[in-house]
Amino acid sequence: MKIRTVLIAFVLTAMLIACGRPTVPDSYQTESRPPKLMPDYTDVTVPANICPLNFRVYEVGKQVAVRISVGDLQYTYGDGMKVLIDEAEWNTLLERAKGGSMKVEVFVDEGNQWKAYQPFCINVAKDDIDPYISYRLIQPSYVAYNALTIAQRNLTNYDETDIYSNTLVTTPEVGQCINCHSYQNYRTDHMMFHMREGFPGTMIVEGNQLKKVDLKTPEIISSGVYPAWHPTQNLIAFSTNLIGQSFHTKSVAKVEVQDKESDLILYDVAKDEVFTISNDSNELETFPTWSADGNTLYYCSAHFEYENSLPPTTSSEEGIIDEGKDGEIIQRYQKLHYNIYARDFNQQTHTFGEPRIIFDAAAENKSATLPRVSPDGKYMVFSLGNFGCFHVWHAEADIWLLNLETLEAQNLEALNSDRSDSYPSFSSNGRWVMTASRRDDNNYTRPYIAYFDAQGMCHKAFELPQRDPEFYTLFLRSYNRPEFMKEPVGITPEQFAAEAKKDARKVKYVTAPHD
Amino acid sequence: MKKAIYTLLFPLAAYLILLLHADYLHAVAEGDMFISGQAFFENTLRTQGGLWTWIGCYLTQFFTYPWLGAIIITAIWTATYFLLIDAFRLKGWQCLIAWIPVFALLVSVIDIGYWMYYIKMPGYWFSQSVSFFAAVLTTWVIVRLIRLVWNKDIAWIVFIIAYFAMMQQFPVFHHRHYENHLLQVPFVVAPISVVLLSLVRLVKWEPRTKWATEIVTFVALIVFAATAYLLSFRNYNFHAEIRMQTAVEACEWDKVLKEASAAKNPTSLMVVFKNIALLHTDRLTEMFKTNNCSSLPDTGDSLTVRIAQIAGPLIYYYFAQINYAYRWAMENNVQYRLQARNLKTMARCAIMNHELDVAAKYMTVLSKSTFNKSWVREYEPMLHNAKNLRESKEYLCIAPLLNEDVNALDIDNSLPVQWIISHYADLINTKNRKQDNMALCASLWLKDEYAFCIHFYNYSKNYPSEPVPELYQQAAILLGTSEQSPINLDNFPFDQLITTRFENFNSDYASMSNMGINHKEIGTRMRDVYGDTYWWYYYFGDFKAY
Repeated sequence: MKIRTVLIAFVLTAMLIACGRPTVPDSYQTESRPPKLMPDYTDVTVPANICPLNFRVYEVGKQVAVRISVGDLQYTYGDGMKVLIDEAEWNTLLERAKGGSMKVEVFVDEGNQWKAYQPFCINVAKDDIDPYISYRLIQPSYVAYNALTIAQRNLTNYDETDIYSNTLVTTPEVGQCINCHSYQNYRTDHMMFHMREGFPGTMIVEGNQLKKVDLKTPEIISSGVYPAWHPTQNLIAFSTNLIGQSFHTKSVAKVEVQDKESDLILYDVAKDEVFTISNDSNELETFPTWSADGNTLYYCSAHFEYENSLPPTTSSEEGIIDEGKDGEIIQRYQKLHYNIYARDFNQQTHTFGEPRIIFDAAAENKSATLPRVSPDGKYMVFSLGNFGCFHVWHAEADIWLLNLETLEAQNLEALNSDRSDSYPSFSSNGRWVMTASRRDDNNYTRPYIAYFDAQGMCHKAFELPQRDPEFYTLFLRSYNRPEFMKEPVGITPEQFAAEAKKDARKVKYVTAPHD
Repeated sequence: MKKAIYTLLFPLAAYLILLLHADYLHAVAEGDMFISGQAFFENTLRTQGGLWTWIGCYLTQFFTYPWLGAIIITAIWTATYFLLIDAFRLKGWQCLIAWIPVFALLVSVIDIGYWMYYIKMPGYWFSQSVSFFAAVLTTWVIVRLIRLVWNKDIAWIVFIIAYFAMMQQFPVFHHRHYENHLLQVPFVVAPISVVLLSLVRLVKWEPRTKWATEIVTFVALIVFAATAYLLSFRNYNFHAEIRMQTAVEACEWDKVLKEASAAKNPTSLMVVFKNIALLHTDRLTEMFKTNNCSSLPDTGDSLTVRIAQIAGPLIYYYFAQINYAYRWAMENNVQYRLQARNLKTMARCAIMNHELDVAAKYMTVLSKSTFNKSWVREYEPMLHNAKNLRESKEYLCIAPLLNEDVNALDIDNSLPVQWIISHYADLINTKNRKQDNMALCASLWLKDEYAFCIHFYNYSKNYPSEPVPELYQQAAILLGTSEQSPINLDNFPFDQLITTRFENFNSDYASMSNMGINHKEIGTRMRDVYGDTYWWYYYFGDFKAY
């Protein structure tokens, strides 16, 4: 990977040297609007440790000349219609602009004349961002999957490396699905992800130790699904879900992913024990997440009573459920409205208080999913759609902010788009919010990051920069579950693969403790 | 001169054999994908043998023009042959042995048949030959260098090292719970035969005359070529399906119907293609007049073939189920390998769904391959101007079926044809004649008496002054006059000829049955006279959904 990166950098540098810098024209026509860019970096706010924001100008023309300046410091770029910024120069610009902004002027050679577009700014925040993010790279398919990668990306440059790839263990006979990578407090020495089908189990990292566990016991409906590491203790809250998919004949949403049953469990990593937190048969509990201090467990739940089919029963075999329920939940898919609840958690006794609703989405005929709490404990972000729990396919889904002191919610408009925005998360300093957004084309999910200032204001989001501005157009995978990390993962993909091939150790089911 | 002729004999034969499979090779190019640029290159390199895969994908594009792709791959094989001769210092009849790996590689390209839809190795058709050539080339270079200082025959050792160092992923023909190991034989034969070349040199036998050498060479090459041809997958229906699929994609309905009429025992996929052609030429009522019975595809082994994976996207598309077409194109791209054909379907679906951004994305991706630019140029105007879309021939075909206004949430259980038939048989509130015909014919295809009666009642109301097509009269006299029928056809003016023929059908059946002839045999005997009627299809016809 590094050799390839060096090679690409070398080629790009050589091209830059070969082409030379474009000259800003002396005379030009002016255009009273900013240029169309891909990605759209006009007036975004970026951290001072981000890699260059290369972009392509989508205007009619054959050559672009772009001048980026901070005070008297200025550089010009242009390679055809692409703008490929030198990393060292970019870092100098960032350093100068920190807490302020850089000015970007775009000139396009239309053949017989140059056109100057309205200049725009790139604002540079004083707050840095975590140096890494991780995500699963997956084609936005429905049932099928093949090569899947959980990858980590250095935000200060363009380096991307695999954390784990299922191609290390899969064969044509046995595939492997990997999902739900999760970290304790943004650190990678306590992390996990699931493996399904081939070599199934949940991979747990504790320091430099690896173990693979099987979280399914007869007492629970499935093995662990959506995870949440406790911020200080060696505990992970999971939802357990029986999931089904069905397909729209007309709607561009195309697919509904639904929980037919779901509950919550708590896994004690040190003891390899699980117990049920919540398994109300008329509630679909899911998406657990902890408060920053670890004293509260938040989660989503939809009240759903089966009317026409058999009453819910705990299935002993994962995925087996009576067809009547399948049909009913498909028929009533628009009736599934998830609210956000909180339960106090006693860190000494591991007991939970009674559920209390903190955001009643159902009352608004909406559905709230994927809550995450800011590190200072003041805010929660979540995805709000019209119904259901899988908002990545819901164009109307937006990221909302809930003030946990006042319980007032507001749409984070600067972060959102008119297409699906879901899976929000805060950076470790709470100053950046990331979302998995389908705003580019309504089908492929891309990470967008927005500055979230000390006053709780969100600024215009920017798309994760790539070395080649055309990268996202040609890349046919989605960025799934983008997560901030303070450091790269220390375990190699091969180490994960070796552990994956071992048998998973069974966890023990215990009864929930009582006060 | 003679030597040159003999040398070129096998490549020439290989080239001609490839051209005999031109339809298949063109489908291979459509079933693979190359994207120029960093993302595709890096992504491909992530897999074992990624470089060969990348080159394989690049070269497989050239099968878009089968004659051109065949020239390239034959040239690679010929170069492999010459490098082997020189690296192993072969002379006379010994050179024949160097054709064995080439023979194996040729067979590996043309013997896989239906596996072409399921193999998970992008660029398979070239990557194996390219990686093998690279190993041989490396051997040749190293052996040549070694010979400058050390006159030893160690080509086989160098080859083994080079082969394993550069080896492409070993192809696996696995689908569901079945794996075909026979198809792997060429990939074992090719390297072993190269190693054997070292032993060949130790054989001191030589034909007594030069003339005898030429005879041996000639006969051996003919045997190679004939064997390669015999090992190729030549199933008629397999090739007919490919030709029909190409014709359907281009809305060339006459070609589709011509292929259908030539087939003696068509597969279900061929029957569906035929019905799509009838649907879009407003002749759907002929679906039982033309053969609507089908057989399972003969895959040559135990491979279980599913229509969803072979042509699901295309079938859904031409039955105007755009979301489901998109879904199966995506699923097949993910499950097996990225295919230009599927990307095109996804782009077309996105245009039909007015998802113009993602349509533009797929167009950009397709334009980064070598031979899909003209396709992009044809479809791109539809992105920018809805008029271009509305005037396109496929839109004109599909549009009348598009305006169902109800969105449903459903599951097709990986059986597209079954789902489509059931969907249209259940369609209520039809909006035009095409939908009426589709609903009626789907219920007949499904042999759903109740659905037919309801649709027939509506049809009679919608078109009271028009003559009722022969098919609907045949079906109505059979299904609408029974006691269970929800409609009353006592006063329906059936055509006298149809009434008489139906009576004859019943009496012929009854007399054969009284003679103790079994039901299946009766069907066979009555087919010549009544095979064009719905009654025959209803009682004896079998459409196999898979």
